[in-house]
Amino acid sequence: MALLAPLFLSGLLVIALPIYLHRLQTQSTERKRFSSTMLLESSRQQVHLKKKLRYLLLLVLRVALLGLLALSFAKPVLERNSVIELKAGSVLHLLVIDTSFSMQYGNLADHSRTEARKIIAELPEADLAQVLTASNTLEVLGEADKDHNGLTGRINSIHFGNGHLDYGVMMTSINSLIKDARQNIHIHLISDFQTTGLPARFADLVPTARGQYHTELTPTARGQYHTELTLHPQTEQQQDNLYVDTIIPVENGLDVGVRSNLATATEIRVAFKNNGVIVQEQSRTIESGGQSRFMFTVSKYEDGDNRIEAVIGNTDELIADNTRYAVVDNTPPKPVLLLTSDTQGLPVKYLQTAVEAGKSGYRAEPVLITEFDPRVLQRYSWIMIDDIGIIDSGLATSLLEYLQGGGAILAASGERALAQSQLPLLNYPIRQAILSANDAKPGAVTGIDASHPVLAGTSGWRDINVSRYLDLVTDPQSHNMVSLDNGAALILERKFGQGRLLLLTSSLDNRWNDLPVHPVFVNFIAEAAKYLSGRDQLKRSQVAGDYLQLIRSGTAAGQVIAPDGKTILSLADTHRSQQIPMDLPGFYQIYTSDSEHLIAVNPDLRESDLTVMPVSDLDRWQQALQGPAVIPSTQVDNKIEDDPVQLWPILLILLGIVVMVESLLGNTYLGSGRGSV
Amino acid sequence: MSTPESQPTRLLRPEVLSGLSTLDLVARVVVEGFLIGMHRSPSFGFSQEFAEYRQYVEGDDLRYIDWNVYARSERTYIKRFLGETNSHLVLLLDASASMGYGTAAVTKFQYGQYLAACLAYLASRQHDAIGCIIFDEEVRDYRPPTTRSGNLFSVLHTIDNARPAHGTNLEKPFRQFAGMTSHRGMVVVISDFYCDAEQMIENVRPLAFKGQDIILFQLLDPGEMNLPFAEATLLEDAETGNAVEVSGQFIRDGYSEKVQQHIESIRKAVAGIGADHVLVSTDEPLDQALRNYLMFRQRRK
Repeated sequence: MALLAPLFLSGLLVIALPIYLHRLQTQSTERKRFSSTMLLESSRQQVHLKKKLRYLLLLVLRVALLGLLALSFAKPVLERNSVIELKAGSVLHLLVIDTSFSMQYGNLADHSRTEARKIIAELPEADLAQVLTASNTLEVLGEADKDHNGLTGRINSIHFGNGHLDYGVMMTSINSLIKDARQNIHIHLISDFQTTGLPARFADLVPTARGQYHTELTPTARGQYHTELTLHPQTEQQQDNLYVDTIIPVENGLDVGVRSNLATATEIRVAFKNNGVIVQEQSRTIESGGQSRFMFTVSKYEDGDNRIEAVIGNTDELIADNTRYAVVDNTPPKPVLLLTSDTQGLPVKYLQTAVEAGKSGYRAEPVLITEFDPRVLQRYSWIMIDDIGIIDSGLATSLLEYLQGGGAILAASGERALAQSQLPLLNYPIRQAILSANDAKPGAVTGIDASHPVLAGTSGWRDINVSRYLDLVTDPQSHNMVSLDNGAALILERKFGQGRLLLLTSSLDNRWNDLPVHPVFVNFIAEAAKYLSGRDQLKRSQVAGDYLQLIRSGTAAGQVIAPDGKTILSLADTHRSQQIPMDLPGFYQIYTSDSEHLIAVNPDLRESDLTVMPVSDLDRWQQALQGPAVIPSTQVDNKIEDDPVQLWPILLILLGIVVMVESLLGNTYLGSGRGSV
Repeated sequence: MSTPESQPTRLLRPEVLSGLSTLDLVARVVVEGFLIGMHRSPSFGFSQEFAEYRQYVEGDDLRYIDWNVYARSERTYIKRFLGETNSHLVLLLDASASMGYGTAAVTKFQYGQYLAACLAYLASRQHDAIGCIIFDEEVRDYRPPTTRSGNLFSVLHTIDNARPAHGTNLEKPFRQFAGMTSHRGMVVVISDFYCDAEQMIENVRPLAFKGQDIILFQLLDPGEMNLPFAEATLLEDAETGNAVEVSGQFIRDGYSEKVQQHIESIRKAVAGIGADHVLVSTDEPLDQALRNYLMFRQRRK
């Protein structure tokens, strides 16, 4: 019933009309003005009272007429809430089975399936059940069903993955799933109940109370749907486990951390594999609950991505976390064009050093402007210019075409730009080369657009001193990324179609400013390289269950091969899906148009810690429901709702009666009114 | 073309008068038309008939000395005519709220204004001193009787400005009037007289004892003679605001009788003090009222 429906509300306003008219009518006809009542005799019968009552009745009928009409717009229904004996299937059993990585331990997976089948077998015939799996996400396996065979089949088909289960996230998902369910619900959670899966707040574990199932018509019958939670722990104590918890490539080596939860001190053998070949092996005794670090030396990695594996030679019940994967990128840096008028100049040196130090995957390739052939521009995804003033009109045309085609330029200013009245490429008039307002006190950086991708990861801009820069008359299309204390731009960005240009209004030697000798310069060049090349750095190490976004690997099209060798995304599929789930531990190969990358995927380390929740915590969780416990359906006097009854036929009949009575009364009244005047 | 007979009558009808712009014009039209309709000289009753001799005193106009009498008796006497024996006319107009009632072309109050204006105009032509009192429950306005030039317009203006409101109390205007004048004269009271006859007479009686000639014009609307309702109705008093529900039977049978009884009681009470009572319905022409006034004046002379 939409009591806030606009038509209903406007209809209610219309009711004011007969009230107003009756008021007018009452005031104008009820009393007649006469010169003097001195000679009049009061009637014994209070006729006007009868008339007034008739008036009121007429008014009530008219208001009722309009009210019923307006009410009909609100689509009224009567929600029947009479007490009805429980029907078959009024309790829905949700079987939530933990399929996270830790459930691969020993026979936990089989035990979980057995437990689930047992619950199904013990369900009353009338009850429904639904199977769900919980790991990184909550998945529903089919509709609620009473067919035990079907349910058992779904349980048998459950695959235990490599994801991590957070019980808080799981309960939030279950809450959103059941919040609109108009049934009593019994949640059965089958899990190993790792401590590492607990949320920060205990309240997040508790299913929320659900909506009332009775309307206001019978307040005495109000109540809530029952929600009950039963926990089915599959293990009661901490399990033994060995696992590699860190694998960090360091200079000329590899740092591998191994943790032992075995009951006794054990000698552990760890092998370091590079591209599938065992390079080194080490053995060491690790105490119970201890951790040990294994340092492997590496003389040389192969070019490109290297598949690094640290493998524990010992066996345990959870074998999958005995190997940990990493990728070492040994790809030679790509050349990036650096246009200059002096290949031995300070700006070239600074830029070369910064590009190399930033490990952005590029190396500066200085080319004299006089020897430059613009036809090679398309080979570079981005280029650098140490002084934008060296660009002549012919080159400017080529560079503009390059920019319009999606190219990118990082340019600085210098003495050659200072000699011109208009900045090449941008065509901004150069007002003047400003020395800082006071030579003794160089200008400082005060405005930084920290939201810009180039500047987001940099710091230390305020330490820079600028003694000279070009004061440009810019246009609205340019954006100041870094500003000086007088508001002038130090670094600005101007977009040209798909391309973009970053301009430093000061020079890249150490005469106009001291930027090149500050650490922020290296960060700036590295971030600018990523930004201008359009290639975000691919995260080479991911956790099982994460998603790979192809667009972030630098291209919108590619091919992905999973660790098991299956192609999970072909080139033809890339236009359909840009998010690829990475569930398997190992190396995912990503082939794009111009590159080949590896991503190492490992199970979440929290899953390897097999410490279980204390029984007292489990009891507390189970009893902390916010609603009353569910009553077994076999003994129930539960109440469920029937479909609501539509009220419109009743309204129509009432409307008809009111119209007839109103007409009769109205006619009578109008008839007497005519006679009295 | 209208006949001479019919023209004045048409002009005297209230609905015609209500279309005239000023009370002065109304008065002139009515009086001139009325006099023409009577086939009499406009100077009816004016200064032609011998009234009395009076001994000459210093200051009298020598032209009016009757030299024949002086020749016979060697005494100087002034010959006085009827028109020169000026009288005072004071108009008392009821401006209570009940006078604002009207179902005809004009309300009782408008009719009363026309009547008062016409009487003032007529009296002015006869060189009578004219005064007026406008009253409801208080005396709202007062013009003392005088023959000064421009007095007529002053009186007409006073009558014109009055508006019906409030209740009725005859005691105050009569008491104030008694205190204001010592001259004998004519008093015209124009009201609907919705008051107790005996109480009203108690107020009028002192004036009659002082020798004032009193005529009471009782104005009633046709709707007051016969109520214009068929069924039981709730009627609200214009002056008090009190509502009285009257039955259909009373409207049909009882009311007319009560009105007649009231009129009769007023008539009897007025006759008891030697005054005149004229009942006027507001849908009638004004000439009947004027004729009554002239006859009344004639009798008093």
